[in-house]
Amino acid sequence: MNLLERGQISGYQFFALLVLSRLVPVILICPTVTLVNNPATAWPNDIIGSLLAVPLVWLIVHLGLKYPDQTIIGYTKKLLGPIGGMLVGSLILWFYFMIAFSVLRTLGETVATGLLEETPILVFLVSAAFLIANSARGGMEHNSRIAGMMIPLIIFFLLLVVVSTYNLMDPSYLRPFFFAEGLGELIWPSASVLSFYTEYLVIGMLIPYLNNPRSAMPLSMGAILTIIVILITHCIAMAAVFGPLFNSTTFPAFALARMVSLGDFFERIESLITIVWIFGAGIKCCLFFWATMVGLAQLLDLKDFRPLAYPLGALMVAIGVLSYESLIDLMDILTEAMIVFSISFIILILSALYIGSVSKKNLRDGIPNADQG
Amino acid sequence: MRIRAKVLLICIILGCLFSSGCWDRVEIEDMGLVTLAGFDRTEDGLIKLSVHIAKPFAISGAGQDIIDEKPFWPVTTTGHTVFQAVRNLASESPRQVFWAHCRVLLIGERLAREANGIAQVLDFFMRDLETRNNVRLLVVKGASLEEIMSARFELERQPGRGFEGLSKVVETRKSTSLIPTLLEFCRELETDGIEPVLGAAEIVNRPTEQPEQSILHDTVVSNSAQISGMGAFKGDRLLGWLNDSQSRGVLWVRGKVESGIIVISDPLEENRLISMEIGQTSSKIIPQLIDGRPVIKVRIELDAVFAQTEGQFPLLSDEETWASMESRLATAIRNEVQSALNIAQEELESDIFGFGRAVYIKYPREWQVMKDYWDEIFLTLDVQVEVLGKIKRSSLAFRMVKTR
Repeated sequence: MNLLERGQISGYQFFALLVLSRLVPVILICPTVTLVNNPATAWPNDIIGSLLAVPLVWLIVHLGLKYPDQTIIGYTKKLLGPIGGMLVGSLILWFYFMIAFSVLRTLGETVATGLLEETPILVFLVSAAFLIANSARGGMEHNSRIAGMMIPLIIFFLLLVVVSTYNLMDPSYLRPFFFAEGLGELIWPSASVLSFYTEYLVIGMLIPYLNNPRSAMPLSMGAILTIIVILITHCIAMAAVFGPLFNSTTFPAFALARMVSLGDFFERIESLITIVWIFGAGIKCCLFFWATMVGLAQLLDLKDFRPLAYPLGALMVAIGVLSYESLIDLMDILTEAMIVFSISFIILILSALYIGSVSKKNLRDGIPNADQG
Repeated sequence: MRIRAKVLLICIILGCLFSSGCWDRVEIEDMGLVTLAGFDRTEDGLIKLSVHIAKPFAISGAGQDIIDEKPFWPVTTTGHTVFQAVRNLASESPRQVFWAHCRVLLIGERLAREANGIAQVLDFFMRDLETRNNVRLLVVKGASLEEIMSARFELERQPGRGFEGLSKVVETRKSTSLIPTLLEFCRELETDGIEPVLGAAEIVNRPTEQPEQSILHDTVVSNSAQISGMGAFKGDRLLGWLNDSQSRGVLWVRGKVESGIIVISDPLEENRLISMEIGQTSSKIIPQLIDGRPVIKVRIELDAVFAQTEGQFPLLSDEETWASMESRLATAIRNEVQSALNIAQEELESDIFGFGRAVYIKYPREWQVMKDYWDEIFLTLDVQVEVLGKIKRSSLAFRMVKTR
């Protein structure tokens, strides 16, 4: 199977891409927040959701490591035969593409709401998509390098915002640790946290391009750990600053940054968050766009993936605009339908692939036996 | 090919340079910066908005002559909703109104007294992109919005800056009022078991002085504003006023007292007064459930500085006098808290101290039942106030200047 792409990424870049992808829903719109009733009990959701993601990501990486020289599309075709492979492969690609255009649309809506209110959203979407398509067309090395460069900066900015709101924090909002409606309150927010980890299906596309594919497992787990720490820090700061207003803001990280006012001179640092927005979402969108593009070329056995870049880019803008009516619609989907869909989707895909891999193995084991017998 | 790419790149970069901000570009010369805003309800039920817009050409820079012109433009509009009133400014202001520099927001008494009145103003400010969440809120007491908006401060050319400075100074030097930011007020509004308070802005009529024949004075400053006490709310509805000492009583319980002066009488000679300056303070609300009924204990601790006296005794005389002064200090503070408690329980019937919240934090399970009846429970709530005052220093002198 031809990998099509010659690029290689280092372990650190792989880690950066993973962390960044999961941080995007935290720094743009944060759907999990709207599902929480009591801000004081919000942080356990981050832990529960992330811990539930550990077995999921383990399965994804484990499968990838069985075929370290192939992408997920490659081994799907091999495991499930031409028809099943085509079907499951295109589902996976649709999942990647869906993430790509959702992120693009979210970024567009965010910029339109928080930064450039008068500018038509299409102007931003088209120019961003053009940039992303160009970057992905050149291979994934560029994007990975940018991710590696930006991730320390992005984490630094997020932590800076959190730390500089200390004068607004009221620790009494972190108590009591009490669930008025029972532990059932934890289900939806945790599921929402978990649902964003399903995006780690993209690891399947990245493993063959890793310098050292074996390092994928510790790196993925390290990424989850890093994210837990960032999520909890952010969540606790949000609860202490906003209290009951916790779930009232459209862009929590941006709202938090807008609050910062230290000594009358260190303020209006929300522009830092807009940098984080554009780089974070841009890199994530590019990653999933690249995965769709290369995956599609591999699925259809094309000789080159580059001609797909601009058509797919145009498609990304069009579908991104058409699939959600508004930011509220997008939010609605992300807090309900998407949670159920993405979790059940990933379970189905993974079980299909694992069943395929087991039966293939039996088949392979069975043939020599049959010869002998 | 190479050259074409380079030309294209240069064109794109140049294009970016000149099209920064896309459609949202507003030149600073086209902006009118709001420095102070006030909302009220008109008699015919509309929202009234009154703003001061800075006049940049009347603000003198360093080294320039002082321009003899008021550096702001007061303008008033009305509308059915808050945002309509705000946007109606566009029909009067030749410059696009810009809100990010508005640091103080005044709420008229009429609007504050109606249910859901302030909430709509807050919604606009929380939602809008230009406004800041750290704008400070003040409620107007005993004056119309026009009167308070026409108040001038001798020390600040922009009344907006005057109110901002005043808010800070009152909070940190006197602690007889609390001027919450938009965030703090909204946060408190939504929190169970605590009702908000808001600093009250009042008109002071200064005696009209003989106008000096100077180019600097084209008008006589007659009205000025002061912050005195607080308005007490239930939800977002203004219920009544607290005077300075009642306000500090509330702030003692809330743990928001930063400084201030407590006057006590001299233990050695009753008709002489001693001033104590409040230093470090801390307070704690300790709720307890006795037979299912909440009982609140408030523990206030503070350090005071012996700041001024009319008495003649040598300060280091004896421990008894010292202890007596400390207990008088404690009593004075307890009285402040008690007077606040009385007005809150008997007149306002609003839990502005946050006792309910303290109960919720300690007994969340019981609170679920109690919260529906809290308004009634609060009226007869047993509150014990315990004050521990320590006089730690006596500033730069040990004894008073002697008169022979």
